[in-house]
Amino acid sequence: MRKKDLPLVFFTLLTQAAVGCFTTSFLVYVSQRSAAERASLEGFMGVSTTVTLVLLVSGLLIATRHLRRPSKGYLAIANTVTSWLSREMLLGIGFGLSVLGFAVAHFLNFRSPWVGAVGAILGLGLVYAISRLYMLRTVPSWNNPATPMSFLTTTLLVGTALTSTALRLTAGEVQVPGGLPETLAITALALTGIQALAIRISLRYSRKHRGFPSYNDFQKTFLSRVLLSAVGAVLLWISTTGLLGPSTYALTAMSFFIGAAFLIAGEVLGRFLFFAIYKRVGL
Amino acid sequence: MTGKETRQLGFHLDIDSCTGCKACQIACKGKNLLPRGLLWRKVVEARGGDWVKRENAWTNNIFAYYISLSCMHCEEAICVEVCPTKASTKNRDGIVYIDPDRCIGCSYCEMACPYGAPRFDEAKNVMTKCDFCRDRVEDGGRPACVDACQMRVLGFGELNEIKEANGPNNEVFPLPNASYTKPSVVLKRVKAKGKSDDDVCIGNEEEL
Repeated sequence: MRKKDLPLVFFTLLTQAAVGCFTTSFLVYVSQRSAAERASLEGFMGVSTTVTLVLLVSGLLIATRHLRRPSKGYLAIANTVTSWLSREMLLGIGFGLSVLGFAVAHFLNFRSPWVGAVGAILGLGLVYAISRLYMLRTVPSWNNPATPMSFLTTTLLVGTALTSTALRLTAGEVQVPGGLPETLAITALALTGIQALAIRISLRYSRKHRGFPSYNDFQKTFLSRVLLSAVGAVLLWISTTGLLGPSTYALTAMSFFIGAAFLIAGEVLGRFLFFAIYKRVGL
Repeated sequence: MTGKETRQLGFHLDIDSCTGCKACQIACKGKNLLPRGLLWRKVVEARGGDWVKRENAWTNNIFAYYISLSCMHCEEAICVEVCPTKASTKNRDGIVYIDPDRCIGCSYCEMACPYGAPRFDEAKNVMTKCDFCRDRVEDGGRPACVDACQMRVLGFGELNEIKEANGPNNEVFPLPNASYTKPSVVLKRVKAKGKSDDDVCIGNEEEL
């Protein structure tokens, strides 16, 4: 992996974590049928929105380190006609403003789901733009459907882990809807399976080019990444099912937090792997 | 030229006759006052072959050729497509130029270009590359590299004209398939070099 790509690893992860956290939290929030049920999740939404904004701002600060002239960064939205980087900047600004608008609206007791919906849609658009940015026709290992697949899955996986954590941390103050933690854990398991496919697909696309990275070059890293995410998802699921037996609060909590940490670590490793398989055609 | 007429300038290189002397590379560096470690034109050495035993005798099929490369000023320049600030643009002569006042140094063009043309200038904090010596060309002159070529194998001209004169070939190992960005270059290579591109490797990779 090129050293100068390190800020991009963290920028993409933090931005996708922000989108995932807000989108999954918002979906949990609007899926409650009654206003009373939604009102009971206010504390949880407050935590999620705050975490989203912190992640987004952190990602932005790291992104400016990648630019060699950040003072001219405002010019980066000049080419939305052809540049996915310009589109990403614009969608990022839109997402950030929507989340901020959602937070302010809730603070002012204006509880319309539409502001959150706009934020979630712009956020998913932002993740799509980030994935298209890397789908350069001169980089075969990135220019295939596995890239948006992987980026979206990372967004939802990290979002699920963060949303589950926010729910757990606010469980004393909010009424956690029945079956929700189990649903989130099963979602994490399914997404891990999809993520395992994505990297294999991308390496298959680059295999036909002479001298390009193959699965064998990254076998150990790939397997470690899949194992981390899978173990994390399983631990998350175990913590929600009561399999550890009654009166095991500490053990359940440990299973949950270690599971969430493993899941996020798997995605971090996966992002390093994504940048490690970069290779251009030609020189 | 009047009004909004456009043309596509391009380089042509007779690979069979290029000796790899690097006069073009040095001239470019001198004319543009490039700092140490920064090259806008590079000479790639491609080589292959081996010793082969035929009955009781040993013979060899070793070969080498040189390709003087700079920005290809592609017809479908990917650097222009991806640049978020429109610093990388194509003018009426088809020359792709990076405006240092608009460049933010994101290196997206470097990530995308299959010819490795955009290079980061640490001193100026911007991406830079060959600009076809557009100051000379606009005054009716020739690029510094073309002037410096002692073997007269490197030339330039309107792309359609040089394709008619030399044939349309613009793909030679290690250059990528021309369909990616449609490079504005004509490469003359008559002699067969190896059985396939698998027989060839880059001989001066560290230098590049």
